[in-house]
Amino acid sequence: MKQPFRIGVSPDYYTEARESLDAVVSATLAGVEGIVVESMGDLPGLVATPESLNRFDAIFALAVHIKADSLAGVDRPAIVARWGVGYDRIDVEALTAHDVALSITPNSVRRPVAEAIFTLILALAKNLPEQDRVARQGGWRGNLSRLGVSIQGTTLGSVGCGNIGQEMFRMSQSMGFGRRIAYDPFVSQDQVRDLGVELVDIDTVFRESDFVTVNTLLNKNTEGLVTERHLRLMKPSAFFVNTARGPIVQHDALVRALRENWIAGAGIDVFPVEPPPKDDPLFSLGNCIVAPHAMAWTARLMLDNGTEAANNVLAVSRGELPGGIVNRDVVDRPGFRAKLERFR
Amino acid sequence: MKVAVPDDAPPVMAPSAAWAPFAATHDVAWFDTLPADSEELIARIAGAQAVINIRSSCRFTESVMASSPSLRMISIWGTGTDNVDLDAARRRGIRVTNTPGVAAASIAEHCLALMLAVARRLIPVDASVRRGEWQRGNSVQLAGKTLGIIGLGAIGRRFAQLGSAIGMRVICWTMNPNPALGFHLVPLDEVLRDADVVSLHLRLSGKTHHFLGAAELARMKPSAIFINTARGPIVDEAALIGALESGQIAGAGLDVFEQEPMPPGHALASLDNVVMTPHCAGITPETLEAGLALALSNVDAWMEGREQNVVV
Repeated sequence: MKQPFRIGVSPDYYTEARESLDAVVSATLAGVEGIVVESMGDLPGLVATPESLNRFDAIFALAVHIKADSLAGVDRPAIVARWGVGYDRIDVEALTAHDVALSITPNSVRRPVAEAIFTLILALAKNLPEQDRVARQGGWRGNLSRLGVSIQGTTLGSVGCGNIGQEMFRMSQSMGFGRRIAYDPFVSQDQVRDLGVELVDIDTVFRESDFVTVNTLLNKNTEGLVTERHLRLMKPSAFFVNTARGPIVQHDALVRALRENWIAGAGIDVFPVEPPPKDDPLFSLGNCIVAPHAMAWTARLMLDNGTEAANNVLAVSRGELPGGIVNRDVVDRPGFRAKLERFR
Repeated sequence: MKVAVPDDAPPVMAPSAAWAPFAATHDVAWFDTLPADSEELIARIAGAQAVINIRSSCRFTESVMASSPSLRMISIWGTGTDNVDLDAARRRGIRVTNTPGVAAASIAEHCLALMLAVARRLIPVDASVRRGEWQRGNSVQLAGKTLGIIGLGAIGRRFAQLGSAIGMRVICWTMNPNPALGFHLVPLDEVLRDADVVSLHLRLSGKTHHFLGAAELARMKPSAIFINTARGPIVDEAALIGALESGQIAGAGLDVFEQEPMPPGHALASLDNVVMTPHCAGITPETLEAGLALALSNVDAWMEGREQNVVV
């Protein structure tokens, strides 16, 4: 008889996403013969250990760290399946070296994140937090520091034009924006021409956009990518939105840009360290909106993420290639092939 | 011909780009305070043939018209006409114009902003993070949900487009249906029953006062969000507060209220499932300029015998 296919669940699911996990397990995995779903157990610092990984054939990863040390001597798992699209907590090269595929869930994430970006863009444009505060206190228009501005004819810009950036531009098509511009060294003009997006250099995105959004993944090349110099290029009337990853932006520079009114405002869902320190200077500034890396975290998103991740894992359990593979070079490695063969 | 602006308070007309050339070429009486009562309003517009009305708190009743025999034309800045007795104006042959269209795009954007902010609980989430909390609760995704539009004027039509842009299914009910416009028209009850977001875009009149009351709110889904950027009294506000407090509906985004400004300590002010703004959806720097210029242009057009934007 075939061995059961064991899926290890990183322990943060049980505190952060219990309902979604239960729903995905019962809807997508419970009916499949031979699948066992089990917690990886306590992980100090949420860092995976070799013992915790090697008990499983697949791992569901929420915010767990998988470092090179985590993989020492690890030979059993065939896939780490992220619920989501970021993988800055995971050492991709080390996974490949241990013949483990890394999968993400781009199809589930792009819509909710793009919707979250527009939530922040519009709330900033319309000055919603201040307007709400003034109206609640019995004040009226005369008490506002500024009225809302219209997005009609404005320029929407993006640092990064991949999965999420392209979805944002797709949704923006009938919203009345004027120009749509993006910087992305890995995308060609032909790929985004139909979306009406003009690829430009990064300085142009900052200099000419009324709304600068960040839609790139975090890696060695993008850490600290957005500097004081970029923020100083922005118009004083422009807004900055980051729903990608905090470390992409030099936080001190962002704080100064807002405090000294280089820019009109910012919508910030992600921080250099999460949770951020309670005295993060952004929290005392009136021209920004802050959120707990959850702007896109809707009930629907977690279900969709989990279902997409579960299907990636199920493909592996049948000995097939999963969708959403990040480390494509793992596919041709004999060690990985041998693992898939075992599940056929 | 004399033109009076009895209510430019706080001033928006005087600082606008269009005002200086108009004032230089017309006989104008301009006031930067609100008239205290109808006697003061009558005194301010005495002798004027045309009046430019800036604030909706300034009311042109039949008795104001009766006491202003030279008055021939009222140019309203904005689209709402509820502060002018239109029947009396019609009987007395007084032309009333407004400035439709200029603010439609901004108001529709404001509806989108309110809808997204309520669905994502943006205001309480921002406050919670500032307090040092990190509560990553689930919020609501709108893509795939149903937007119900009540009233397909310029604003309702534009908001329907924006709803489609973010992936919502859009259903509509309107007083004067025109299937040629291509919207998915359904009975009002169906909008209330099926929509995840109900947005109101009717004109306030005798027919629409408390158009939505307790019975209509009770038909909405418990997960529904209600948006009103039209006029406060179209909804029975006490019933709305009840529905929001009891969880009969999930939340609301409101730019208009039965009493404006809202008095301090108002019951809505303590509800964290509401995002509220001080009746400024249509007021962006761009729409201000465009609307004020149009209000002046309506006066000129009337004077030159080629009327435009006539309400009655």
